Amino acid sequence: MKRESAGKAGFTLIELLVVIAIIAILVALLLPAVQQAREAARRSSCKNNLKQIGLAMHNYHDTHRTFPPGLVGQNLDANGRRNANWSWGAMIAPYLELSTVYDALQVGRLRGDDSLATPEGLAAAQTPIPMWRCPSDTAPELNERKRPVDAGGTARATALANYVVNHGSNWFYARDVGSNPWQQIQGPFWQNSSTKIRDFTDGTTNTILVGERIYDDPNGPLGDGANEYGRAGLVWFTQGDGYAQSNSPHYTVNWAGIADVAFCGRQYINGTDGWENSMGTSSRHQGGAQFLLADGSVRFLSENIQHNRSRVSDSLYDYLLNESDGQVIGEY
Amino acid sequence: MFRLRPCCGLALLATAALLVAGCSSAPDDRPELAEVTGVVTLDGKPVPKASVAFSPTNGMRGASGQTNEAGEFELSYAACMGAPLGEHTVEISTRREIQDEFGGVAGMEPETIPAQYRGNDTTLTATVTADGENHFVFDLTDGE
Repeated sequence: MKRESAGKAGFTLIELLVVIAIIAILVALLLPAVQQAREAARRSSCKNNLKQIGLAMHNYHDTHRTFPPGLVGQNLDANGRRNANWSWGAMIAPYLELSTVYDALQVGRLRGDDSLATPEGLAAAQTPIPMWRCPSDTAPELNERKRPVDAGGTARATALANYVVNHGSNWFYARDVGSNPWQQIQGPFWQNSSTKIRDFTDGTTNTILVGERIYDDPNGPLGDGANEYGRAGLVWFTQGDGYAQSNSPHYTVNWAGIADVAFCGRQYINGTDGWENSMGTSSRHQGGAQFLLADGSVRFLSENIQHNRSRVSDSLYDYLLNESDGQVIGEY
Repeated sequence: MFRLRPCCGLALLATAALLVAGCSSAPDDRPELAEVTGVVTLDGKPVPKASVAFSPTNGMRGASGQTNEAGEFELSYAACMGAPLGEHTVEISTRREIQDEFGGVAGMEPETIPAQYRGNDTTLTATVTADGENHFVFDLTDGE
């Protein structure tokens, strides 16, 4: 076979491969950009959900002259400590155009665990609510890791929420026990709370109302897996009363039903703190999470935000969580 | 055929480098990190499944890790391995959730670490440096 010299016609194999390599590099540049565009769209959708919740909160405030309670405590006895109690999500449902679910659940007419025991209530509670879900989170539609117990004693998986209210920068300390100064500095929501806008002496622009939390481990393979679940939250109910009692299966001063619908500032955003992740905020958005402020605006906060986990309010994240600590917040 | 390999290798390398996600694509406000390892013992015995948290004294976000059966831990900071440079207070605790079959809470493991090593009252400190070994041995004693 006669070989032609390289300069006259056609490509050598090497030239062809170089061209293919360059195309491969260009495609490789493009693919992450497409993925980022998709994530940007999901982040916008999540932001819109938070915005809707903000509007509903303000409409609730206009009607009732107060923000909804974090959860409605039923003071159940030792046998009913994991029974369903109503959450803030049930309170604002009519303002999110979820009146039909609200009526089916008979919020305000029945106790939470009694509602969950009715066939209509169970069906309504197990209807997934897309606007309560951050589209970036990979959670199932019903929350299997937080299962409130109905009045008949059966644990039920109910609609999953990625949005949880702000309990303040400390652990989940009950407001009505303990007189330590750090227990008085808190966020706007707790069991049977009725915070009004006038209580936000730091200003509504400087206080967080709602944050997000995902279902699995925010840092995947780096964590120790099952022990780092965020567990997300619940739309309609909590598992039991807000704060633990000594004979509760949840007994510890920091843990009880309040963690199903609220977050506290003991954990870093997208934390690596093992089981404590299920009390904090987390998201699948790269590098932080989104927060609804009390004025109705939505902000993205970096996971590298200044955040000291001491008891006192002494870092930027603490200032944003506590509604009346009197601290000045600069640019962030 | 032999001459093709560097070319293909280069293309593959470039593709792989561009697709690496996670830690390398973290936001640019992340502080400088250094890898940190260590061991926790209580009265000479290794403490398994303890959580170790390093909190910078400058009030910024800290790093944390869990000990294995030999009491050894590695720290991670969000999606990255390591801890921020500088001085830290160190909290060690064995309290954690016991999970039920669904991943919910079934109860709590008891605390075995004395009070002077955990929570806001901890007396432990550590300094993470850019070029040091950053291996910390915490020999705890139950001083009651």
